[in-house]
Amino acid sequence: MATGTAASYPPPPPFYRLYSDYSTDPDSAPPPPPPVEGSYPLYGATYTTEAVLPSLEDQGVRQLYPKGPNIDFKKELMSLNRDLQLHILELADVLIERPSQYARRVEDISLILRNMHHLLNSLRPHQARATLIHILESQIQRRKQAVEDIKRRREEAQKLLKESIQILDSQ
Amino acid sequence: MGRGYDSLSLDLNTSSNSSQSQHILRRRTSLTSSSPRFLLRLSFSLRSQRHHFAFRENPDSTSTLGLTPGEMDIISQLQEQVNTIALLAVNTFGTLQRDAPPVRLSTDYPEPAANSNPTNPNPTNGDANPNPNPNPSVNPSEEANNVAEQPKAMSAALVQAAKKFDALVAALPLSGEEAQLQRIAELQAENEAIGLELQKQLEAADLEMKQVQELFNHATDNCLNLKKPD
Repeated sequence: MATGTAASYPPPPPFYRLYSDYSTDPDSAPPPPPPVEGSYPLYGATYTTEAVLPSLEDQGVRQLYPKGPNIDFKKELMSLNRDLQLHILELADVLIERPSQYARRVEDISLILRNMHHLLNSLRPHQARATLIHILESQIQRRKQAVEDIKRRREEAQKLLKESIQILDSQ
Repeated sequence: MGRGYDSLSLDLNTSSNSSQSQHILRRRTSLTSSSPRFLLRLSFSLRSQRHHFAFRENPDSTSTLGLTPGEMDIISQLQEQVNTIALLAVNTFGTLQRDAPPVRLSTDYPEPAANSNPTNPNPTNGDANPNPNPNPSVNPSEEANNVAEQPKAMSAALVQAAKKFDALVAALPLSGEEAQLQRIAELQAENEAIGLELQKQLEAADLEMKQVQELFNHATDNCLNLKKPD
């Protein structure tokens, strides 16, 4: 009775008719669409299927550690840690002497923290490759084991058959 | 640090204190408009950092899928440690600001009613702090003890967290990207080879099994035929 005023649900997509004979002949229906590649719009925003960590400049944050093809992660992380401690001390001093100038120090601290997190995130691809190596190694291990098992069983079976032939011949 | 400054102590650890800290927030921020809200901003910037971690498995929860640090991979441990350091810093400054006793601003004003802090680090105070009040009640002396011990304990915790971070960084098993890619290529080739061999063996074993089954069927048929009905 109130359906006129209440919002009705959107109708189902019209291509349901294409699947009317699916139970009798699965090939009469169109195949599923291929996966999306590249960039696609979703709810008004554009997303991309490429998984890449946006660099710090893209996020509008200054990058404190030196850029370059090869970054010595350990060294940079340790020096950032040291910088962080120094900045915390600086903040404590500023709060004692010139308390109204806290803002810049706090921003510096948060900048250092963001850089640290960005460095750690950029280590994730390396971790992914290491995981892949580990998986491959364990798979190779399992396959070798399986090959050994099959060989052993086959030999046992051959042995049994020979024995049975001998028994039968001797009778 | 005197009580002239509003303090925003955000004890982020205990959820039971959340209502209390909310109350403190509301009370203190209703005071002077120039109150330093930097702790609030710092904690917000920390929280917003969590949402930038596109590659963390669970960017919204602070419990990292409920895993204890012993079960997490080292990079997640490092990330947790960074957050811990930031948390300790926020708590340190917040607690110190909240619990700092008032200081004497000038000789014209009377001495503050609460017990003065013997280790007051504020040097802009023109008047040197006199000896602690000979107040026999337990509360002020206890307060003085707490206020003296807290910075030591908290700064010790901060330094320890930083050392743990350094230890974790040193434990990172890093290697070059080319080395990894090379190893992956080698392993893939080996995997292919052993996969082929496995398949060969499987096929041979299947064949043999069929033959044995045939033989068995023949043998049982013969047994049945030879068996004389009683």
